[in-house]
Order: sequence, then C-alpha cells, then structure tokens
Amino acid sequence: MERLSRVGRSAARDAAAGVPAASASATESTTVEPPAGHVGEGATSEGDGRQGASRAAATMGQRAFVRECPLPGGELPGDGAASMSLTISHPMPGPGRRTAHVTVAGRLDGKLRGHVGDDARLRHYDLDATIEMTSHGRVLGPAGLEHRGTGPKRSLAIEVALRGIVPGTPIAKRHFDALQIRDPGPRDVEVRDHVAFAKGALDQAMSMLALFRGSADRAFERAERSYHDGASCLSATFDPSALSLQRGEPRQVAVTVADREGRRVALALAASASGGSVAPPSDTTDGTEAAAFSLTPDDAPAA
Amino acid sequence: MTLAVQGTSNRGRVFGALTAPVETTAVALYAVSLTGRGSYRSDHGTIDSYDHHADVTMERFTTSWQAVPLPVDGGPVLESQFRGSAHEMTGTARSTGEDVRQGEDGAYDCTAPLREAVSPGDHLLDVAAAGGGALALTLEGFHGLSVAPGTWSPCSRSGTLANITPSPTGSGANDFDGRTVARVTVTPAQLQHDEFTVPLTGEPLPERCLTVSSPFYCTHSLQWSATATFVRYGSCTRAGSRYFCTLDRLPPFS
Repeated sequence: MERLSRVGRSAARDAAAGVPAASASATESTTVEPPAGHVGEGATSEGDGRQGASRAAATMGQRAFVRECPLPGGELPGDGAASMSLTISHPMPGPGRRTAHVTVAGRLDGKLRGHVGDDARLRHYDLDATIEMTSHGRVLGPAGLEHRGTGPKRSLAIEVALRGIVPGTPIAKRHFDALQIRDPGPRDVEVRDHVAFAKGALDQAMSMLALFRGSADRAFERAERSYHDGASCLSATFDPSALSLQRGEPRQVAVTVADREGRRVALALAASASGGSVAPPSDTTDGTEAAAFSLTPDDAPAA
Repeated sequence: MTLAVQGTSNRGRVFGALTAPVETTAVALYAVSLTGRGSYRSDHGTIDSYDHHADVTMERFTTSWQAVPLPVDGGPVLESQFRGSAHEMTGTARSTGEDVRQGEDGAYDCTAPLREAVSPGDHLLDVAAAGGGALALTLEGFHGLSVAPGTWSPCSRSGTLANITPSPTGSGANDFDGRTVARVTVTPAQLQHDEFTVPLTGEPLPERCLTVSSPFYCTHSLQWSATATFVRYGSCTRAGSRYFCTLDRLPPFS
C-alpha cells in the first residue's frame, strides 16, 4: 500500500517567503509499506523546481524490509534499496536554443541478514550492497535531438559487504568484508574528469549506503520489538486449553510452542504460578513432546 | 489460579498464560442433634464364667455434634471432620445374671436408673462419606464386654451396666455388641433453612457377638427412633480434604 502526500509551494507563498517570483517547486512523497510478515520502512520522493529558465528534477527513495520473525537458526533475512537522481536543465548561451541536461543518478540494491541470539536479541546483521553511480551530460536542441557537446556516460559500480553491524553503532574497518569497484567507467576521458566523477560518485554512494544502513537499523529494531518485546512471533498452546481446579488437587497441563505458520518450536519454558504452585519450574518442549507441568491450587481460599 | 510460561530462543520470545478457576464447594456448617427413645436388650448367656442379661430402656436420649458440613448444592457429603459430641440419656437399666466365677450371690437382679451425661470431647471424630447427601448417624450399644473380663461387677457401675453410646459412624466405642444406623438424607431445599428436622429410625445391623474366651450364645436388640435437628451456624469452603469455616454464631453445643 502506498501513501501519497504532496507538498507544493505556490508562487504567492514563494513571494511571501522571499523566493524570487520566477521560481517554483513541488515535492511528492510516497510511503511504501512492507510486504506481509515483514517490517521496515520505505519512501520515495520526487521534486522539481525551476528558477528562471533553469529546471531541476530530483528523486530520492529508500526502503529496507526484514522479516518480522526469525527463521530457524535465528536468521532474519531482508532486503532493500536506495536511489538518488538529479537532472538539471539549463539553457545554453548562443543561438539554437540548446539546452544542457546533466543527470547524476545512483542506485543501491542491498541484501540484509540479521542474526538473533538465544536471548532473542539481535546480535548483529550483515549487509551486502551493489551501488551503481552514473552521470551523463547531454545537449539537446528544441526538438529533443542530441547535439555535439554531449559527453560520455560515466558509471561506477561498487560492491560492499559489511559484516557484524550492530544497529546504532558506527561502521568501522572491521565491518568491511569486501569492497570492490566493478565498473570503473570509460577510459577515453581525462584523468581529472575521472577524479571529479569518482569523488562525486563515492560521496553519493556513501550517502546512499548511510541512508540504507539507517533504514536497515530501524527495520531490525522494529523486528526485535516484535519478536522480543512483543513476543508476537511464537505462541504457547495449553492442553487442556481450559480446566477447573479443585483446591489441593494437582492437574497436569501440557504446553507446546508454535511459530506463526503453526510449526512446533523447540523451547525451554520457565513456569510460574499465582494462586498455587507449579512443578517442575521449567521444562522443554521440542518438535514432538510437549512440556508438562503440574498445577496445584493453594489449599487456602483467597482472602 | 494462573499458570504463566515464558521462553526465549533465537526464534523469539513467548509468553503464555492459562487461568484456571478453582472450584470451591460451598458448605454449610450445621450442628445436628438426635432426640428420641429406644431400647437395648442383650442376652449373652454364659461368658467368661458369668451369665448376663441386660434390658435397657432409653426413655429419652439426646446426642449432638457440633459441626456437620453439608454441601449446599446437594452434592455428596465428603469425608471431613467435626469436633465434639455430647449425649445424655435417661431411662432404666436392668441386668440379671449369675456371676459364677466371682462367687458372689450367684444370681443377681439389679435395676438402676440410667442417668448419663457426657461432655463434649476434644477429640476429632470422623464422619464417613455416605454419598448422595446422606449422613449416617449411628447408635452403638455394648454390654460391658469392652471392659476387660474379670473386672466387671454387675450392678456396681451403672455406666458399664449397659451403655448406649451415640456416635458418628465409624468412630464408636472400641467394641460394641449391637449397632444400628439411621441414614439421614438432606435435600438442597432443606439446606435453604437455618434449622430443619428429619425423623429417623435406626436400622438394625447384623448381629455381632464378641468372642472372649469360648464360644457363647448371644442375642442383641437395639431399637430406637429419633428426630434429627439440624441447626446452621456457619459456612465453609472446601479446600481439598479440608474445610475452612466461618462461624456466624457460636456452636449451639459448645
């Protein structure tokens, strides 16, 4: 499900805000909800603006979704993406009403894999991302045809593998498992152009990585609130499901635990009782055997 | 009572709770007394060197117990305990016989007025489960045979001349010669009242004779009828095999 919101600024409001009369801008945002059984956040924003004869259009988006409930073994898979693009159109001086269009774009596709400990707390997560950066400058005539002056399309692909990320803590050298540049771009450009592009591309790549990492942190934290704090991934079933007790007379109750798909889960259960006693204080249920507890209500009626 | 379980693994945490109501059996606490009349006749023939015959007329006897827990819902009376008993009786006891061994006058014939009152005992008495809302009340009679042979002296002790001992079922004297049981069935409707009466008649039980030292002949007859009066003076809740009681007033036979 997507939720749309539009933030626009009218010319009158721009004037009131001191923006030159010849400028205007608008932004439209879309919230992307996670698929069933997943948690996380996602949003895309598109904005455009103009000032005089110059125009600019920008898009930004990011999403990170992870499973709400850990898989057997405590694995918590997820994925996500981040993207940025900026296109600036500017009229070129001279005859011909040519326009220069410069587009800088980046996209990150990431895989996430969380690791949950036996205490039902997220130990850390791994992040594998492929980041592709491109830039392209074109000169277009009034009919949209490309003119001379159009430069080569430059691209750069970076593959990043981070291990053992703990949400909310800085990324350090020890987290980097791999960092590879897969596509260094065309060779028929000047070194200085390479340097300029690489610098800009790396800055943008790191920005997207940080953006994605922040979303991933929040997604894992939200999952932990569900499977740990809210204990919403596992459910206990009592057999019998309802019973009446006689004071001083023990009754046996079997307990099994299942995940959301109804599959039995092996678990050590600690038991406590109010208004009586329970024995043993803990027992284990596995895929076939239920944990068994004996309940004995207090002799004395409640005061 | 609530059972709570919790567990933690790499699949998450689980909390579960099962609340099970604890049934309480509401029990009314009644004092019950019997007032009636009866007779007890015994012919032992020759036992341990003496002949003995007893003829006891209970012109009036009363017996009472402090607490008889009865389930308000009319369910079965469960085994429980109640404390204290008292009984008194008036009448005559006449014994005839011949004490051969002690060489007294031989044949004797003595009659004594029967006046006996026993204070409530401190001992706990068990009342047997009778089931179906019925309560078994028993009168037992014995004729001196619970006294060690050779120590019995006719006519000298009216208390042992012929003794009628009312008691709840199963508690009774050490030995008895005759015993009758009357079963009282209390209905839920009756338990709506703080006081109610039930007429009852003792049902003779199979005759029993004690074998002291040699085969002997004996006959017994214990007959009685009475009115059982139930007076409510408190209520209890059942907790397993125990009752926790609250008294609305002092027990009438304390």
